[in-house]
Amino acid sequence: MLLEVPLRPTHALTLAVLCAVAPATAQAPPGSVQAGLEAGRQFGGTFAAGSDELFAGPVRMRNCTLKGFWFGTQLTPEWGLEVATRRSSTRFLLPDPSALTPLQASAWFEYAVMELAAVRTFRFGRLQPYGVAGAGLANLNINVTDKAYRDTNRASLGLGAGLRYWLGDRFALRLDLRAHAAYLQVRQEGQDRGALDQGRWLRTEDAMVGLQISY
Amino acid sequence: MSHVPLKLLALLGLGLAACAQAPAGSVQLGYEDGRLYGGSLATGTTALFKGRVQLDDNLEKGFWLGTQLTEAWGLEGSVRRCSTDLVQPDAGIWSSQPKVAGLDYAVLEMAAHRSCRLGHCHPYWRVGAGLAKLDLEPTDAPGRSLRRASLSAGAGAVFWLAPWFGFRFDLRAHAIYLGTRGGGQDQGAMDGGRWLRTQEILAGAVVSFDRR
Repeated sequence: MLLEVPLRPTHALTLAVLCAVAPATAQAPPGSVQAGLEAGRQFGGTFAAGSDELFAGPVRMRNCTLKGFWFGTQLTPEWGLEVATRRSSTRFLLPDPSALTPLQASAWFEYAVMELAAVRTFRFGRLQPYGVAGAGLANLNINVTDKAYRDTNRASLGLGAGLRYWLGDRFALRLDLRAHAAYLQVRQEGQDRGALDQGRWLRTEDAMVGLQISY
Repeated sequence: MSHVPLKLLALLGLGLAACAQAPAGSVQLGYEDGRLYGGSLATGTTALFKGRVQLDDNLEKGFWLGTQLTEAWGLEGSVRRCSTDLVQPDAGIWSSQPKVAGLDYAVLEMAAHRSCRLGHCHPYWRVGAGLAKLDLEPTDAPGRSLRRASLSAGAGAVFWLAPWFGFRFDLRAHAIYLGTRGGGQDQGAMDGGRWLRTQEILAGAVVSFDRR
């Protein structure tokens, strides 16, 4: 009986479109969730003069290893949400290390970012580039011998892009490049240049690779 | 190119997937780890300290047991604990905030949560009430233990990786009623200083058991 139904051009076109698009949505369909682990490198970040209470002049974060994990969900074929956390541990770089006090010289710096981000995916079969924008909380933890110097939490913004390569329907490799800007505070008197003062922000760049699972 | 057939398929997929995890009658067990943020004891809250003291952010752990009553509503009992310090507050990045007391903070509570199902992702909001236990160990005085009523509100999401296993991300705010302040500091029933307010961000794993 079914074979007797004439196949109209519109039906044939719809079928052809579905067949063409189906491979592109086989991975991470809407409603699916993803979880991933990633590791990479964090670049840069400078605390401008007067932006903190410990150092008198500008100090720069040494490039270091970065680790993180994330959960996400795909809301539509293009748009998804992701909750991510990343953490690094590094030391400070100063122009003249001999000028450091013992307290400053012993300083380790732990930097963690937890953020909620929107992800826009472009589907080219197994290869899926994406853009990401998010906001969250940055934890700035100074680790010195005097424990009275404690960590601080600040608002953080993130912007980035990346690439997923699906190894099947469940697993993918992910390359992620992301820039973060954490708002520190109004700098000390004489240093601050108003609302657009770039010294109020700590800017870092992350390059990470990881593995993700989708269900 | 029209995406209508594609979107219909996606909606169908969402509908089928929504029934797969945490059905009504199932039981969930979870462990979570995260961070406790802020909160301060206002002046006059306790005779142990002369001025306002602040909770230092620290790691927090907890576990919970819950059940899904309907597709949308569930109940959950949870315990969370954090060992931290009370410090002299100061503003700025890495300002010196000396410790004035050790603090063991624990909250035991019962909460109702309302989920919505977006495929395998179940965002939710919740409200709860319970008991908070604060064990204070001042550096220059004998320790003291307080038990106080606590209220909470929060939101989060469960990311189900399998019908029986998922990850949970949870944001929660607690308000612990400390009582009338002393030393002439109290400003009546609406005095915000009577409450200790904390925030928590936690992530963890959840296992779901369904008898069907």
